[in-house]
Amino acid sequence: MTAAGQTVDILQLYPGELGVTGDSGNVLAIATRLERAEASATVRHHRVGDPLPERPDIVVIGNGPLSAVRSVLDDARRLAPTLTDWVAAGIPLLAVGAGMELLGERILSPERETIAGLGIFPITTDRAGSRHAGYLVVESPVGPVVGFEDHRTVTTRGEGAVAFGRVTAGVTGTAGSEDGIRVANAIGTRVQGPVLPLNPVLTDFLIARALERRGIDWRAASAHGELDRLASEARAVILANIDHVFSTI
Amino acid sequence: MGLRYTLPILIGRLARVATRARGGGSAYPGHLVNRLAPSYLPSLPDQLPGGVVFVLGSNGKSTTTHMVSELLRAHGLRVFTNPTGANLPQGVTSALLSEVSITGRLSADVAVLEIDEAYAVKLARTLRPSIVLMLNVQVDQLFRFYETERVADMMIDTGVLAASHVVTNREDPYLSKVGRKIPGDRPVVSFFGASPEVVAASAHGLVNAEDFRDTDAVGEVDAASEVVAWSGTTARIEIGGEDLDIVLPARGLHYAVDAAAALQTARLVLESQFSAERAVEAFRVMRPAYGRGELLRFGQEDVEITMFKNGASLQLNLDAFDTPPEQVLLAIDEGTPDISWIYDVDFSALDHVDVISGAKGWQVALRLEHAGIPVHHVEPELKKGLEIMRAMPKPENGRKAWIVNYEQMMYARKLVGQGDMEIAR
Repeated sequence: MTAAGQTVDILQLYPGELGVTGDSGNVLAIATRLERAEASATVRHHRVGDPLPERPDIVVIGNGPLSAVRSVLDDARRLAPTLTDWVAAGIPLLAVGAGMELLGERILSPERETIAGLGIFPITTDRAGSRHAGYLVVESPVGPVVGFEDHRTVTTRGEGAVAFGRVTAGVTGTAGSEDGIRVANAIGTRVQGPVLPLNPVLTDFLIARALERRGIDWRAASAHGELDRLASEARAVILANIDHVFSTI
Repeated sequence: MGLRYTLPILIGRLARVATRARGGGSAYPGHLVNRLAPSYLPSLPDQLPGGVVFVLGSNGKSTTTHMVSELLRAHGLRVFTNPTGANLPQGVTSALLSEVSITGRLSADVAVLEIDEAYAVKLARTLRPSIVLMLNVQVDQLFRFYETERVADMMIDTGVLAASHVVTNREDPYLSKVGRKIPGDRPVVSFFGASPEVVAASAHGLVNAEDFRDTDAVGEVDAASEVVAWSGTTARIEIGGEDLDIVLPARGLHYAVDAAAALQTARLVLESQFSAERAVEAFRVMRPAYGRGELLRFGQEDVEITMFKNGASLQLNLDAFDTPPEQVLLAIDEGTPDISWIYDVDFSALDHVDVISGAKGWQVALRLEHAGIPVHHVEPELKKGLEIMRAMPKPENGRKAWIVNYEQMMYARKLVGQGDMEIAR
C-alpha cells in the first residue's frame, strides 16, 4: 500500500511559547512531504489550557527561552501521562531544544534552581553551561543531520539512555560529544535550522514510523526531488562553512 | 575639554584617515581614542545643553534616531548623532571624531544616539542620557542574545537610568512595563503606540515579542503619541491633543509607530518650543535612513532597498508591500547566523522571487519551496545575482525590490558603485 490518500495527524505542542526557532517549519516539512506524495496532513496545536488532545500520528515540540518552559510547565505536567503512553506505544515525536529539556527529568536553571520536567526522556539539562552557537553535524542511526545549535546547556543522560547521535563536526565545542536523546521513536535534539526541512532523512523517519502502524511503507519518491535537491544544496553550503565562527554575547 | 584631548583626537583622526584609505568605515579610531583618553567620552554630556537622548530597540533604531534628529533640526537645534550601526562605545567616539574641534569641543545642542542593547547600560552610565526612548523587543539575533527576555532587561535596565524621561511602547509586552521598575517619580514614563484598530488592520500586527515571564499586561493606558490611522507612506498621529497628518520616509506601519515615538521624544526635548507645523514639514522632506526603504539608482532604474536583520523586520517590511513587487532580489549571507526563523515569516506578500543570493540562499530557496512561491534563480554569488537582475527588462509599472540583510546590502552597494559607508546623513 502506498501513502497516497492517507492523512497524517500532526500535533504541535505550545507553538507560541516553544516555537521561536522556526519550529513551525518542522511541522510544515512533514506536511509538505506528505502532500508531495499525494497524502495529506492535518495540523493541530495544543496550547495552555486546551483539553487533553486525542492521540496524533506525530508529535512536534520546539524551542524557546526558559521563561517559556516555565509558562507551559503546569499544563505540560497535566499532559505528561498521556505523552508517556504515546511514546511507549511508539508514536514518533520530535523535540528540539527547550522542548526536549521540558520532556526530560529535570532542568537546572542558571540560578541553580531545579525544575522538574515530565520524565519522558531520561536526561537532565544544566543551563549554566558554556555557550554553543554555530553549525553542527550529528551522525545518528537515522542518518547524518545538519543544522545550527544555539544554547548554553550540558545534557546528562541517565544510565542506559541512548543519545540521538554524536556531534561529528562544528566549532562550538560540542564536536565529539553526544547529541540529544532517543526513546523508542521519540527523538530529542539540539539541532535547529529548522532540522526537518534541511534533513529529509529525519522527516522521512518520522513519517515512516507513523505510517508503518497502518501497514504502509513510506519512502522518498521522485515527487520529493525538488525538496531534496534544495535541502542538499543548503546542507552543502553549511558543510562548506561548518567552521564559521559566529560571535556571541 | 582642552588640550589634553588634542593628541588623542589627532591620533584618532589619523587612524580614521588610514582606515578609510583602506576602504573601511571602522570603529577602530574610536576604540583608540577611548583607550588613550578614557575621560573623553564621559565629558560629552556636559557640552550639550539639550542633553543626550538614547534610542534603543530590536528594530527601528536607525530610522527613529534619524527621525528625532531631523525633527529637532527642523526646530533649529544643532544635533549630534551617530551613523547607523555605529552604536557601540567605539562607534560613538568614531562619529565624534569627525565633528569635534581639535580640543574635543562639539558644536551641538543635543545628542541623539542609537545604542546597541548589549552596551546600553554601560553607555548610560558614561553618557547620562536625559531621555531614553525604547522602541520594541522583537525576537532578534538569538545567536547573539540567546534569550529575548535578556534583551528586554538590557533595555529596561537602561531606561530606568534616564535622568528625566523614558519614552516607551505601549504595544510592547515587555517595555510597556518599565514603570514597575522605577521606584521614585523619575524618570517620568510616557507612552507611544498605535490604536487597536490600526494594529488589527496590519497582517501580522506589530510582531513584538510575547512576554511569557510576566503576562500581567499594563492594560489600558493613554499614549501621549498614538498612530490613529495609517496607509502606506502616510499616517495620522495624535499628539498633545492634535492630529498630525505626516508623510513617512518609507512604507510600513512600523515607520508610523517609529514616527509616533520620535514625535513624543522630540516634544520632550523641545518642551514649549515644539511646533506641530515644523514637525509635519520635517517629515515631508525627510529622506529614509540608510537602506530602510531607500531608493537607489541601478542602471536606468530605481531600486528599492529593504534591509532586514531578523524575522520581525522582514515580516513588517513584507507586510508593507501593497502589491507584490514586480522584480525581487532576496539575499542573505552568513552575516545572519541562524535563520531558523525564516519558517516563522509569512512570505505570501511575494508572488515570486527572481533571484535568491548569498551564502544562505539555498536555505531561503528551500523555505520558499515549502511556501509554494516560485524562485527563478538561486545564485549564491551576489555579483552574479545582480547581473541577472540587471539583464532583466525594465519593470513595466511595478518596482524592483532588493530585500537584503545588512552585509548583503553593503556588498550590493559596493558592487553598483554606491559603496559609501554609513557616514553623514
